[in-house]
Amino acid sequence: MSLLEIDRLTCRFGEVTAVDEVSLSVNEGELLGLVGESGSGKSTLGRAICGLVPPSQGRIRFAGRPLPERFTASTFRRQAALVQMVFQDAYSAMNPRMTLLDSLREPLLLQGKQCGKESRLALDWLDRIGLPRRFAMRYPHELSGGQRQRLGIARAFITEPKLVICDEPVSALDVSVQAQIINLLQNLQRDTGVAMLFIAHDLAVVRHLAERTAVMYHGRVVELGGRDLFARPRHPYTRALVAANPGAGGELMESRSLLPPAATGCAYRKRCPYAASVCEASVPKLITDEADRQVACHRLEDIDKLR
Amino acid sequence: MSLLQVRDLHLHIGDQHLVRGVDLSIDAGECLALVGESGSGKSLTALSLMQLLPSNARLEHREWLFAGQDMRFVDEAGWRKLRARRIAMVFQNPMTALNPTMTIGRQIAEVINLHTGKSRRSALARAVELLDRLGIVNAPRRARQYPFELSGGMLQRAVIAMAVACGPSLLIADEPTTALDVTVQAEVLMLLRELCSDEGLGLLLITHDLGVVKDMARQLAVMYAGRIVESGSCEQVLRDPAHPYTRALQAAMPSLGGEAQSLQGIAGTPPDLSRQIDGCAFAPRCPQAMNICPRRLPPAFSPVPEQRVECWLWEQAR
Repeated sequence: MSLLEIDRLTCRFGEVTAVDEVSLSVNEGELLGLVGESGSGKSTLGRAICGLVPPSQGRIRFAGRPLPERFTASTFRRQAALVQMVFQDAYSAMNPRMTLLDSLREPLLLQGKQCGKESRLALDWLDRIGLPRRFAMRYPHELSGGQRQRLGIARAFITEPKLVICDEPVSALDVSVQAQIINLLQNLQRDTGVAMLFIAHDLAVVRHLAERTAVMYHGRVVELGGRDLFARPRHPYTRALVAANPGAGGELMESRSLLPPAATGCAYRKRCPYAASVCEASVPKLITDEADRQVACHRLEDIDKLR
Repeated sequence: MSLLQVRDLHLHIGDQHLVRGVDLSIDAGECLALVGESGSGKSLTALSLMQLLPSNARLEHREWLFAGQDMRFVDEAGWRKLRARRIAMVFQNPMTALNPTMTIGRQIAEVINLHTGKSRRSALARAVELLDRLGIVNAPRRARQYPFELSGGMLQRAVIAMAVACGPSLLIADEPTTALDVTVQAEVLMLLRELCSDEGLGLLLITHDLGVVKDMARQLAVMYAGRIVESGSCEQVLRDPAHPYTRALQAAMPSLGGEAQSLQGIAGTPPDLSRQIDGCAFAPRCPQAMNICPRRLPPAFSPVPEQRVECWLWEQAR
């Protein structure tokens, strides 16, 4: 059953359309990856699901209930009980004047679900994320980057949400620490059965974690597929992303990554080596193929023939 | 003959002993990759090679040759002539490496004007030419813009343009693509590769991404706690890493191809560099540590010719 259903969601900020008619669903207990370049709208989408960004059009349904159009303090709190977020920069996401214990108790106090047991639960969570209990009275600035991200993760999971949105949670970390955090997230997801939306620009990390992955370009989902997405990319943009991944040994397909997205038709057409007149005419829709892959490209059949 | 040859480089800043005996050698037209975690001393090694260090820094070395010149005898005035003209550097964050109140073109032209004595007008023309060569569309217009008006990928190209403006023979690039998107990263790396092969530029590439290393470098040096613990040809070291730390780095990285394996983090933290370290600095985190490891610094062993590893595990194999 799908936990989260996003139906043609659009988020506009003045002239800029950050998220453009995105439809996605996340099942209970599933880990959905979301990749794309900076500015593709991945983070805005994540924030809209949390209720941090108001949608301009479209609808988000969470656990069968539509999100309110305008959040009040109480509806926001209700949403926060269901959806939590882990940010890239754990340090700026924390109150520097709160001890670790207070940082972990805070969401519980706000939810008011664990009266009197907050401290004990907070200490249990220090164990679960692998920080010693004597750290309870320390402050975020006393932690290393990896330890801070562990704390950020504990704070997201401590209220037992249904969905955790991770926005580039490991991008700022060294590889050795990155591996620890990825393993921690994987174990927590297995133990708690929480659904996760994992936003990242590192394809290898996403491939390692996600069952299904959506690729965003300029506010739209251009391709969505299962674990074979990166082995058999179909959309020209996904192909370019895979080829550009360092060490993949792929040939660089485009040398036009600095070109801005097109304003009409397919936004990718200026960079696309397969662009034709049909790409100028209209925005391609996501079409599901026989292998349950969704791709939004006018030239898909021709490209397959060319290769 | 090597373009750059450094032996036993040590750097102290205050009571911290941050670079602890580094040997480096780079040939013209060749790329040497220096990898390691943050705090391992990669960037400080780079800054030492540019002599861009704080005033309380103390730099020691046994030998330091650059293009046949003995660097012991170069004073600060000599260094000012070397920087940009012979040795140049590209930093990780182009936004902080550029002056926000000057147009891109003028910043590049300033370097040319200062170091080659060209007139300001012809320096500006050269700057536009460089921007164009580095793949910036509509270079004359971009040259008149300020850093905030350009995207990260364009800024990094501008910084590279500035670095190569005076035709240096050694380029030090400190995580030049870490802040960029993968597609842009691929292009910037290709540019650097072209500069190496076309102009015979020696490149010291500092990165933490083993994928980037694979695409770029022929030689690889792995740094941990101020020492190069393993070095050799990139192909050999990545295929058959000899040091437990190199192996641990590899096991920690997810890959895009092959089967998804579980990732191995490296437990523990790098050592405190204000203390003296008697043995191998990695010993407290090493799964294969033996009695001797924390007591005595391992000498360099060669599992195969051209590969060099500082690890006691290779003593018997010798």
